[in-house]
Amino acid sequence: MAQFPIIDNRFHSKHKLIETCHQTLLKQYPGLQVRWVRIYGKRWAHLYGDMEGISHQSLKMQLNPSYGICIDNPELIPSGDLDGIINRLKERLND
Amino acid sequence: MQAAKVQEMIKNVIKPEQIERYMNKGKDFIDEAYIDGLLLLKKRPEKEEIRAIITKSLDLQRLEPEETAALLNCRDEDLWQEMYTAGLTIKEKVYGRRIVTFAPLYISNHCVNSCVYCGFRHENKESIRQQLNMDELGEEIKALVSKGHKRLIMVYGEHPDSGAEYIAETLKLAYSTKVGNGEIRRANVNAAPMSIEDLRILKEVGIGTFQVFQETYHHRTYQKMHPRGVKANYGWRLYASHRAQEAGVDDVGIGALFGLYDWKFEVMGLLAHTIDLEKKFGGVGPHTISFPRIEPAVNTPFIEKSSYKIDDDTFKKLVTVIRLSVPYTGMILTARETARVRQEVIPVGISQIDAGSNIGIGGYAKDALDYNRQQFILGDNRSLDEAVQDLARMGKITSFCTADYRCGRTGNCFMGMAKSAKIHNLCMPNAVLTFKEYLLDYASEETIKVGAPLIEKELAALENPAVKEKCLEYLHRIEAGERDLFF
Repeated sequence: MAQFPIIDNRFHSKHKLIETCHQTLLKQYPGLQVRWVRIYGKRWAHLYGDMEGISHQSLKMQLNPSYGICIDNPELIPSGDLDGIINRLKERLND
Repeated sequence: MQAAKVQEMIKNVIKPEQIERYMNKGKDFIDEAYIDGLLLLKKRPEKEEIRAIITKSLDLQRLEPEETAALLNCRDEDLWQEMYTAGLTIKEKVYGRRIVTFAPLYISNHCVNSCVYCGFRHENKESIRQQLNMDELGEEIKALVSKGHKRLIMVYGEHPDSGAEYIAETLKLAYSTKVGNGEIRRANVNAAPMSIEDLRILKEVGIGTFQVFQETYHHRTYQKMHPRGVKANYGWRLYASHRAQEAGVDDVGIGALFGLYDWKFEVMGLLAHTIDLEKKFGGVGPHTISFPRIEPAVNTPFIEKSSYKIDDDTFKKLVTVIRLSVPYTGMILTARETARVRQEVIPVGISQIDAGSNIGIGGYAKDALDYNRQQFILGDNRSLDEAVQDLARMGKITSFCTADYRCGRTGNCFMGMAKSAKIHNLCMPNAVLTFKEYLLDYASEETIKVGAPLIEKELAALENPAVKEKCLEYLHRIEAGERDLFF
């Protein structure tokens, strides 16, 4: 049975970058639950990453007008690191 | 001029390659001989078989067609009682005790189609035609927001004037309208089937769910019901949700209109549709399933003549079978049904209803009924406040939650959480928070009296102490004037 891409932007070059960032984050902070989203107005459509985590302290950040990130357990990242990570992600996605 | 525009539309809108690409060896997924054969094969199911199927549903596993056929043919009323109970258990296991509430907003009744059961059909001269301009639409949205609605299903006839660009503009307006503390946070769309290219236009402006009902899955009946117009093409409609998924609109709604053909066949059709979507899109089936019954419409004699109309008891049964067949999917029961029927059917597994509905074009701003501008006649004309109050008396908390699609919990992510019965951990606290907003901003004294204890009860019922604490903190912040806090 043929499989069709759910989100066409999956094959956009940004997606490769997101996958790499995702793996880097998981390597650095094992157990981190990260969900990447594509932003369409109010709709934050699931793009890549965690699909199981249920969090009540989720961190939701817009990285640029088109992409965002949701971290369900941001407490795994030392508070001093978090701002730097978000800033770096914003820079990379805006390149 | 207008007639030429319509002819041009009929000629250009359907893209055969966007039907064929989803077909299996040139055939669509509705195999009538197979469905009829299963219904015959499972004509007299054994008690043990039915109970084994109920157990599978309670385990939140989607049923296979032969299992659904067995349930549909059950004649033992005691077993039906067991199925009703199971329906409620499943729904609460997946979504909790909340009922999500929305309003339908009819925007245009211009239509090129000739559906014999529909008050909006092209040939119906008694239907007063109107398409809301942006000022009129703004008034409608303000009227809805002022009543407390946060979620809409925006409805459009199939017509060149209601193309994707127009729909996108109406969505933008819906999202940008604010009245006091109120705003529309999720706008779903019920519109004609579109191409992948047009669906991408709707995706870009933040569409919620894209909903297209097949009406009837039975090929021959479909042709009889839709003799002319774009809608006469069965395949174009059948794969509307597939195209939406491929365009990245990963929350889709399907439905059948009961009363056009045999109800058991239609339930099997809905299941086949679900299975085909799941197979082709990585396990993501419909976000919602709807099951409207045909209702009277102005100058539409077909409805009186249909021999496939179903009674209330059969309706409750079919809703139950859908709940058991696709345990993790949202199910919508609309105000087509009377308040009495809704109170009877909600407890077998409904997760969403509309309330305070007015389906006349421009009806909310005028605050009046106008049958000549309606597609059909509603059965439940209670106000939103009355419906919320009645649900509270039934022990159900009304949810205006729209959090999932604003947190990346769409498509396969949402479906994964629903299938593993995790989503209720978010649904219930979000229901409490949005219900609190409603009580503070819009509810009558009587509704506050019935609703406030429900908030206390549901807050106490939250199992996770950290969630309870956070929810309590959010409730205090809402009381202090903040809005739109969610998990």
